[in-house]
Amino acid sequence: MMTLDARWVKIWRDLWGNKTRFLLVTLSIAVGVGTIGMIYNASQIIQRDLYTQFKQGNPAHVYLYVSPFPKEIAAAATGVREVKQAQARRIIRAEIKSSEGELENLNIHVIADPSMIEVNRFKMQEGVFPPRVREIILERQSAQLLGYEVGDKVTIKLADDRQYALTLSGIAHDVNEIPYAILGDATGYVSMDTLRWMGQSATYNRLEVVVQGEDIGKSYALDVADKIKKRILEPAGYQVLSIRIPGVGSDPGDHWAHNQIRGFILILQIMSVMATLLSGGLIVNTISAILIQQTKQIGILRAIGAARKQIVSMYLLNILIFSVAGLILAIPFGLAGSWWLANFAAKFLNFDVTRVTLTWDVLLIQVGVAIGMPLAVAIFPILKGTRISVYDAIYQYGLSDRKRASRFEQLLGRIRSINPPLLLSLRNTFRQKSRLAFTLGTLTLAGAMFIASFSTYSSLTAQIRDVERYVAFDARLSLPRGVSKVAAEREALRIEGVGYAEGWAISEGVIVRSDHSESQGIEIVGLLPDSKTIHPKLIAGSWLSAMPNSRQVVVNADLVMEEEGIEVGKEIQIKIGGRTHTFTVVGIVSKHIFGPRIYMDFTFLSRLTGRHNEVDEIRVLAEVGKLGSVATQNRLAEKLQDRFRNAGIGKNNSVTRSSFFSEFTEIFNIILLVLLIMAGLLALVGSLGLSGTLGINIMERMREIGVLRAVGAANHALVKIVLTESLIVSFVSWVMGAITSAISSPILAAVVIYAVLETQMNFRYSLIGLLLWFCVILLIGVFSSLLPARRAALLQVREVLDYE
Amino acid sequence: MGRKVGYLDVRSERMEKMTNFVVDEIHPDQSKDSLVSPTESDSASVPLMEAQDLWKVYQTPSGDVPALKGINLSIHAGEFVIIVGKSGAGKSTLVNLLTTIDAPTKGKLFFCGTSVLDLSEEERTRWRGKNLGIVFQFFQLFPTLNIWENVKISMDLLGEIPVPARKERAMELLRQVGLEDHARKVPAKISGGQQQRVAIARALANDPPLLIADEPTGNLDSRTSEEIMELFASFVSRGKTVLMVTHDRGALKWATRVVEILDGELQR
Repeated sequence: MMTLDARWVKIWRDLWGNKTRFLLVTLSIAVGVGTIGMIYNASQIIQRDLYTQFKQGNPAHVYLYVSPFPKEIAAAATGVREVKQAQARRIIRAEIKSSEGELENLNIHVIADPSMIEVNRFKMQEGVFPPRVREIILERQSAQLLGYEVGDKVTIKLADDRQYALTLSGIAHDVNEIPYAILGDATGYVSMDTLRWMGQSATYNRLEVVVQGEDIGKSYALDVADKIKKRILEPAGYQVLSIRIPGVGSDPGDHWAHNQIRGFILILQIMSVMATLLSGGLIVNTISAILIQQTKQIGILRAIGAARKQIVSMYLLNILIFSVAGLILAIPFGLAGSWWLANFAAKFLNFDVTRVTLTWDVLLIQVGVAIGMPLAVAIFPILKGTRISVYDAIYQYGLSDRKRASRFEQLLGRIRSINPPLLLSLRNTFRQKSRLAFTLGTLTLAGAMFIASFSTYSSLTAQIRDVERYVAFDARLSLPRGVSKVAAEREALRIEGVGYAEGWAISEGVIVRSDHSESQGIEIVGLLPDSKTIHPKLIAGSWLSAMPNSRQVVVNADLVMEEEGIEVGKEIQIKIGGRTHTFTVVGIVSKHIFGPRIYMDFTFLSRLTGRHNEVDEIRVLAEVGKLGSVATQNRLAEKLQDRFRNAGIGKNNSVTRSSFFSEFTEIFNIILLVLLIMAGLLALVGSLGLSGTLGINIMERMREIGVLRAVGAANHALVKIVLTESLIVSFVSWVMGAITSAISSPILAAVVIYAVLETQMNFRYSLIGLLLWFCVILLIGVFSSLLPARRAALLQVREVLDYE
Repeated sequence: MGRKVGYLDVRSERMEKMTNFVVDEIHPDQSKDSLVSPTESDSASVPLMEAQDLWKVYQTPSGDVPALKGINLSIHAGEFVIIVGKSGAGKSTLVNLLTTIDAPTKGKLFFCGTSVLDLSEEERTRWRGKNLGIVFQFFQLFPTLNIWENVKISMDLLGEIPVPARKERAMELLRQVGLEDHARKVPAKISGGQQQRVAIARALANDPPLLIADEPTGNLDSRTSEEIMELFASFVSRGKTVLMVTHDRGALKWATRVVEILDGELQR
């Protein structure tokens, strides 16, 4: 009867005999390979279900916001050679009552030819498009969060305060719009007839343009928009209020969250690579431990006639078993993970996951990594471990190295003041340099990652603190056009608890470059130079002076990054309200998260825009020079909102400083959590590696330990030796981690922050992270030594002194 | 070189069974093997194994220590040679050199007239697997394999016994050493004496002409030791050659030749 080769039986039984180790290594491979599968699969799902759907909707490359125009303008714009398609749309800012009676912001869309939507197409989930008179269709997320179903009556309130009851006749799924949950603005669609019924003019205010060609760059899209403006719109007497690329910093034609998704996937890819590298590290450690444990058996195998390649193949099979077991777990884990990740993204980004499948390319990658990586990393310790001579394997196992002491050991030998147990620990720690290097490497990487995570968080929060300088109010309310500064501030000061009120004018302009091209629309803020709700951080030049009618401007670093040639002392041309004016840049302030901004004197801006002393927002403080608590902010915000509504002045919802940043804080917390999980994984594997190394060291020195016990070393003495060894390694890795983090931290912070927020950050090194890691690494040192120390203490003299 | 002691033809009930054992009909294909192997014509004139002027010197921080000094030893086919000496005399060192587990500082080693030390490491390993059966003092069985697998692994490694025949041969060897009823047990479940029997069975797995045993009874009680010595003697009577080192002078009665070693030198 045929039986399996005893070599393979031995390998399987050796593996299965240590189930904990088997499970650990298998799981680590499964995590690494599974994560790779999860990321790749999720990326493919997003590509298929989000991006493809988005592209199929023929997204606009550029928007032109224009003074009211008829739909025929769109046809005229199509006559521009570079324009592939143009569509007219009307966007109206309104409010909608939720099912609970709360007024929420609403953007109403009216499309010129609803029977043939050419640009920014969306799908109907329920009902039909277009809606009839007195009907409205809501985007699905808006309907869900507002608590409405098809057939319900919804109340719309326009800017003129009139309210209209419309029937919800359908639910749309529009991937072009930023979801309600993110932007805070609901989206609805009505017909032009409904608009007329609501007393509005039958005109349009946004021209949506698709440009000819593929991979359209921002500057080209803006150039085409500029051509439309100059050749079609302005000659026809229409004023272009602003030109924008749709999305949040994305390229023309890309999904609005394309860059953020790419950034998040990049972070996850880094995670998966780290996890895979870690599993490779654990494999090296494990196979080294196995080889050390079986040194004598390897010697016996050689003694009874095993060729070296036979022994190498045995241990390669060992690794292959780990790999296959890990792969079997990784495939379903990756699939499940990709389903979870894709659905998480879908909920966030408002798209549907159609299916989760394992494609051949993802499977091949997973197989390649699961099989190839462990074999590739393990071959080196296997070749090294099987190179031992038969004599050394059988007879020198358990004794310390017979070779001459290293220079370090010789140095230790000369220092008489070190007590012998400490001397033993020091010698043991640095005896096997390659093994020590590997353990140190893993722990150093963990430390560098840990500190880098905290530094990234510190940098993020420091940036928020910087941005808070520009949001130095307790509450803020956007105002409709036509509200005078005096009236707004007076009304605000009547509110109990408001100690200071200040109105800002907000406008938009474009930079006119030397070649006469124009930038995207840039926010222009008109404020008093001695404003109390802003504490600008100057990085060059000075703030606005109190000189009236001054043509001074202060720009932020975001604008300087986007537009070339902006420096303190230089002049720039800004087009506001259709007319170009020359200004002098007197100062540059620090980065804002919310994009480029220009600050100028309120009075001067009023004159330029023709809106004499009108403000667009009112900002209040409970106490000048002091920012209120969250409770104070909320109280002031509510009172501000109610007061202005009752006075018939403001209709919008107020915003507090804390709510302004809450979304960012959430994102930052998630980023920190993800990074810390990564660091935690590294620390865990480092800890296992350290524990394994200590265990191997004990196995190699079993006879030494036996001799120590024979001459009277008690359990606690042996435990102390092992613990000291562990703490030495921990401390050295902490030092190396601290040094490495000086390089890793700014790199990680820059990558993460640019990936997610598309901005460069001021880096802050986290001393807290450094100190925390010191505590963590000490704990790792203690816990990693527990099992090996216990093993050393349990060794019996007779057991270890079995020498021939 | 050493004194020759009279050969004792010990017969026991066990030996009766062994002599009735049909010599296995499976012979390794020597034509495939370019390594040194004994043939019938060799046994008469050429020693099976010959050590010439073997030295082993250890380098220590306190200077060179010669463990073996100019050993000259010939082993002829069919002999039961016992090398006896005190602890530290150099017995194990000599065994390690003869089995090529260790390398001499200088000297030559021949097997059937061919220098073994001229072979490459891998060639020596294969030669050892084919021609030597090594029995260690502490058995050195593989703990996760049961005892018939421990015997079979030698055959799996060398690959000369056809695969379908290996298990049966392993069981037959266990029968020879009286352990066929324990075939499925792991080493930890049997006694020290039984483990040493398994080790002997393993040493015979590839039918080597020469068995070398390093203190095979060093870890056993006297009764078990006697049983092991009986086994060795039985194999000698079946044509095997046995070389054994021991400090136990009670074992000398089994030898066809006794050699004494003292301070690294064979005594005349």
